[in-house]
Amino acid sequence: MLLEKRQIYNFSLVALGDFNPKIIQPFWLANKGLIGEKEAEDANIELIHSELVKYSLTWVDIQIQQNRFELKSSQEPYFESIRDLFIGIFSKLQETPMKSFGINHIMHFSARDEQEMFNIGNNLAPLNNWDMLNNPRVLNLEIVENKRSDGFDGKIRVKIQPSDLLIGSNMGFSISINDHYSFQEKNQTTDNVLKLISSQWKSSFNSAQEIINKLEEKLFRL
Amino acid sequence: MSEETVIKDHWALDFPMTEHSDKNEYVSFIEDVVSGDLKLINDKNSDILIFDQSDSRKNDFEFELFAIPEYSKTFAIQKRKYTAKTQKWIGYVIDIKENSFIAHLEELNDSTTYEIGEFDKFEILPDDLPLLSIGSTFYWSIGYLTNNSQRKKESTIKFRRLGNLSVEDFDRIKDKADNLFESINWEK
Amino acid sequence: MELDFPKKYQAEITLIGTGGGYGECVVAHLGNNNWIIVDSCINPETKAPLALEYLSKLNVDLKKDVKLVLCTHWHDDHIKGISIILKECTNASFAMLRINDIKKFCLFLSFDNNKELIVSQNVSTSEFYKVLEIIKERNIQPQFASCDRILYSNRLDEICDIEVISLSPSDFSIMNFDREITNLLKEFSLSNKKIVPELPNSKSVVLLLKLGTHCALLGADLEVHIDDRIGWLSILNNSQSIRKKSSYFKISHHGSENGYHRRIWDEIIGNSPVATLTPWNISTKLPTIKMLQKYCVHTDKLYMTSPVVNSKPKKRSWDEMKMIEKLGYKLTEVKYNKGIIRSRINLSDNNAIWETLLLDSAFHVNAEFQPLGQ
Repeated sequence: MLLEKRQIYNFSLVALGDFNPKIIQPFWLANKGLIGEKEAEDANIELIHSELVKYSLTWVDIQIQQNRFELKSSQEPYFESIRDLFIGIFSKLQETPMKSFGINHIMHFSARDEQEMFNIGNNLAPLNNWDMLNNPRVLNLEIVENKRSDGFDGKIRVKIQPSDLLIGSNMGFSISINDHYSFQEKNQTTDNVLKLISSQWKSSFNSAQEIINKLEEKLFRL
Repeated sequence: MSEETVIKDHWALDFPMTEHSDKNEYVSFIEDVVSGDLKLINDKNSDILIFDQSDSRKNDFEFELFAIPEYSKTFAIQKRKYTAKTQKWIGYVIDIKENSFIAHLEELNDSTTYEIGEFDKFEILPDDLPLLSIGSTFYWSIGYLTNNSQRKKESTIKFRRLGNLSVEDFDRIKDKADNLFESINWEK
Repeated sequence: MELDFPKKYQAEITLIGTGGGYGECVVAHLGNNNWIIVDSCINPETKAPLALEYLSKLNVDLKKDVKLVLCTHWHDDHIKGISIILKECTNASFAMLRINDIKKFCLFLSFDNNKELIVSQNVSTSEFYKVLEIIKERNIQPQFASCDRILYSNRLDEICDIEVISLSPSDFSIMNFDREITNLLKEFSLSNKKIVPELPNSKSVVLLLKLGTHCALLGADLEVHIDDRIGWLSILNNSQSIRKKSSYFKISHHGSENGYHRRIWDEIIGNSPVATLTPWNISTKLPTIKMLQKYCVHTDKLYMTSPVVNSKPKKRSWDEMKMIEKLGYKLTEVKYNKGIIRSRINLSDNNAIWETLLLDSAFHVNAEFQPLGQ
């Protein structure tokens, strides 16, 4: 049922480490064979600065700061291309120190009406515990899996809140899943990070789907 | 400095800047511009402002240009496209005909049996056409695309670009190959 | 169906097919618990090697009793899962087609495997690379298969001698393969493309199993070539190992016209042998009816692991099917259809004949067909 209600699936790969934003410009990507030349020419550049680079191609938004690297897309056909681009970039920048990365799945689901929205919130956090407040409502709920069940260092964070994209008569709620991997060694080798992303890619999507499936039983309980 | 890899706000709430979680960095950026450490390297009336390090601390600009409401035009919320009910495959080209190509396809959600499909060459973007050859791999997706409140069925072919090999890559791989060769006791 | 273990002096040749799109393999018992595995294919649903699945059902001690694992071709489609097999079969030696410029071949494999990091779908030789890593780890010496090379031999008590002899590739094919590697390096390795193998197949390893007084010929994928220095004509003209006609023939290259030559049947295959083959069910369909009818003239014991089928779309939800249809695409599924042809013969009896058991989708072709001219 939830899959039918899903209207929007946004995805991002975020890495924390030490980056040099100015290197990773569209023409550098084209020069390395990671995007086409026309794509580089048509890139929508917002900012190019040594501390912050921000631009987008037709299928991905790229934002790089000195400590944070982010690729995101709202179009499912390109999620695997985001992974390819990430791996391609850091295969070329082998000495980049990275301390963690996150695979983010942010899905927006439509709700039938306000009553359904209320029921979802109430099922997540029973509102009769909040009867000291007048007309309490759940604004957002975030739960963290503090120790990953797959043995890797990191956490999984799940956040549910009203959707800021599905509003008005087309109201809805969003479920954001942050699949976060951190490294015990201060700076993991780039090769190991890329191997981890490659190996965990499918399971990240499968886990996200499993979380959604399990939540479905709970969210729509009467 | 944030240790989180989570996306803090949704796209719509990335901007305007006053609500942006990284606003401190933008504030310091403004200060750099005002102080002259950064200079504008394109037309200040452009929609997009591009900055670089200044040679001197001299500052030509009026502060008002960088008042928040004006500045935030540079970070306008982009119109986004959304997809739903997407089916995805990864394919590789096994035959090329005059106007079409045949591919071996594996569904990303079901990698058991594979399929064979034929595609029109015209579906490939001109920028990607040089990538079409036997063995080249691509992603193929079909589903619904919502753009500017319009929803329609769409098919997308994106050829994979995995980067050119550098001299360092070549050397590294050659070393690995030599190591493999030398460490096996081959028949003479 | 419960499978029984072959008797001590019983040879067995089992051909496992997957329906024509997922490879084939042969498992053979050479008497006294000595097994060999030729090539590998996997169940696309479980990803498990079918040879190991079969041997495990018989409770074969994989660590001890598999003596030889052979790879007739380097491309993954022929040997999917072979690295898992070699890993399990710790007592097995490994044989592969002869390569002259091994260093260049290692370079070719390393370049191809460099793609593994990005996504493994692009790697066409990953199985072979993993096999070499196991060989390196175990410090064993791989054997090279070429014309008239004994890869395995054993005396079965006082009963008979057993030999596994490769009849191909020829010296000229091996030379051509070196050139092919150079081209493959240029064309595929330095890019990120997946290697689509070159045809026709002239490098495939044909095996002659000498089982006492009986002989069996495993034709792999070898084809007939105009140039008689390669392919089947090279074997017919040059091999010194064939002293007796074979009573079992695993027909090469899915029974295609390219895999057929009258001389094979006249000169090195006996009358009415057990003949087995696997289909090819991708864009072209093999064997054709014409070829099946031809084979039916040569033998009344022709068996196929599964039939050639019409390609159909994959089963999916109505929504998904409608979407594909509305966008104007036609996808055909390459179906997985396992079939097993198990043939056994008594090695202590010079006049014994093969007894064949058909499992899963395997069937007796002659029962479905009238030979040409009848």
